[in-house]
Amino acid sequence: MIQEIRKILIIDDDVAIRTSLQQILEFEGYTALCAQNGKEGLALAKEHLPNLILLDMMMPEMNGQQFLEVWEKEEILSTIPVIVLSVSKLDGKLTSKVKKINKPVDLDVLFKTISESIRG
Amino acid sequence: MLTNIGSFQQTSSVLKRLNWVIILVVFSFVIELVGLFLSSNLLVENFSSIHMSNRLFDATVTTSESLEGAMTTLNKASTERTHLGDLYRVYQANYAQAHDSIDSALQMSNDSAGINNHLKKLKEKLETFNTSSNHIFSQEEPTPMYFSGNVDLLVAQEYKLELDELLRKTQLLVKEEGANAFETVYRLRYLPLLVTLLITFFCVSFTILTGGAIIRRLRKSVDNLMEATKVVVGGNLSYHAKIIENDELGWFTFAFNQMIEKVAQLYQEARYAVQIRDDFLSIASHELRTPITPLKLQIQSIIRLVKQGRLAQLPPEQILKMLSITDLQISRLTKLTDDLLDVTRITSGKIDLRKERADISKMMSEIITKIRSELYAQKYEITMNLQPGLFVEMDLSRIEQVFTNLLSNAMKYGEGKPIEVTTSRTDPHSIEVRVQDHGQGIALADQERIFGRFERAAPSANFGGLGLGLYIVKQIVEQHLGTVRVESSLGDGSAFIVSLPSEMAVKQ
Repeated sequence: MIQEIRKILIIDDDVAIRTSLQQILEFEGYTALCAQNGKEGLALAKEHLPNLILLDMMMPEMNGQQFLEVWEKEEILSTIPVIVLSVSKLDGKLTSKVKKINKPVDLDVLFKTISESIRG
Repeated sequence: MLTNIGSFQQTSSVLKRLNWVIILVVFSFVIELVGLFLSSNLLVENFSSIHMSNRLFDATVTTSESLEGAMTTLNKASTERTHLGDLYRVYQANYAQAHDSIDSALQMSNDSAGINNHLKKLKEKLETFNTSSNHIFSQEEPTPMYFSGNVDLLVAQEYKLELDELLRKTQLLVKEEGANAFETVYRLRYLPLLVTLLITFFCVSFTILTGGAIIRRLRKSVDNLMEATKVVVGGNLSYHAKIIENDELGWFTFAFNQMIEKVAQLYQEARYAVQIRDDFLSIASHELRTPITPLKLQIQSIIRLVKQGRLAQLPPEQILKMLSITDLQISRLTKLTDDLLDVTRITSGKIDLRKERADISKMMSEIITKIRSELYAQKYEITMNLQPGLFVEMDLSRIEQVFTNLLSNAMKYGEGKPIEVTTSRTDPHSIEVRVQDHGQGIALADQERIFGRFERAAPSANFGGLGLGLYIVKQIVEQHLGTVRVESSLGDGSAFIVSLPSEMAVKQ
């Protein structure tokens, strides 16, 4: 059995959310990378090419919206599915590559959406 | 910009103009009365002329009759020569009557020179007649008829004829004068009416013209003001009504403009306040939700692990970490709700201070000890320069809240550079606590604003929190009769300086 290690990039400015998501994903066997804002996230994404990106919207430096604009244009990045975790409603259209989960996140919904995104 | 209402110079007056109309009407009435009086007086004078002529004529008639009587007596006296005494008395009476009549006629005719002259001549003639007539009565014996006969009587008759002639001429003159006066009265009979009508016509026309002009000017101003009101009621608060005249209505227009400016300003302020509140509500809901996400994640994770029977396999440190994250989120939520509650209490004036005397430097060092782990986690270096023995009457928990807020701000915006805390006595009545960071600093333009409710210098997306911290700090410090100020410039860091009243201990 080929054990594929799936990498997930978490981009959120709140340290508690980052830590919690990282820990939970690691329990489930994922490798989790953390970034504090869009800019950091972009650099990590290019470096590690994760299987999935969990993205917060309201962040300093570069927010989720700005991140998505860059993500759309960069060919290598735009293939990576994104799940937006946000309390506010998402401006711009949702596609099969961009899904949205409302905060506070329900764990079952999160896992379901993650596996859907990675498979799709 | 708002200008003072006092800057309006009123140079004319609607009320004064209206007063002028009233004065004009009264003046017209007076002119009319004078005209009526003068024209009537002309008629009255002529009427009295007619009356006088009648009386003069009567006087001449009386004179004529008395003369006739006197002449009869003279005839009798000179022919019969008896009862001379009685006849003389009768003559005397007749003469006196004629004389009196002429006298009174003389008095009456002072205004008419022609008649007066005639009467004077008449009077002289009458007196001459009397002198000669008296001779008739003074003779003892009658003079013989053939000789002197009644020479005196003849003389008297001659005089009488002359007198009659004069009387007739006088009467003619009097009649002529009377007729003239009557003719004048007849000619002028419509004069008072004409004068009254003419003056009334001119006065009424003048009043209508003047009043009309005043009303036209008023109407222009009133219409202008009404138009402005309509426009403003229609919702255009930037409308500025034109000032047509510098009178009372001009003043109203000026005040109206100022009122609208004020209303527009208040409206803007109200909109700004609503905007701030709306922003705050969206920030607050975001802030309140943020800790719930990790809280929920952690709890669901634990539930999941328990269900899968994997919890026991985890090392205790891992479980402890999960629980401490949970605990931290609850603290965050508690802090947020406490802040919200504090603001509500402060706004409604329901903060009760339980003051006690305590050493502020000791308190500062305790607070720093409490947050030391946090400082360490964020790699902050802290320098304390605490002067001992600075006693302040204060509510310990509230003042602790003040400095916890200031220190957490310093950590939030301090960019990891060293933080300095200094306590010192500035004068015998107050002490100062200074919390200095070396972070991004605050622009001068924002330094006042940050102490307001829901305000913050940095955009909320970059830094969490409700923006209530400094507001709460300021309110608590002010309730302790102290002050809080900020010294900062962009890029240089900020120092928040709290000054609290503190009496210097008297050495025993």
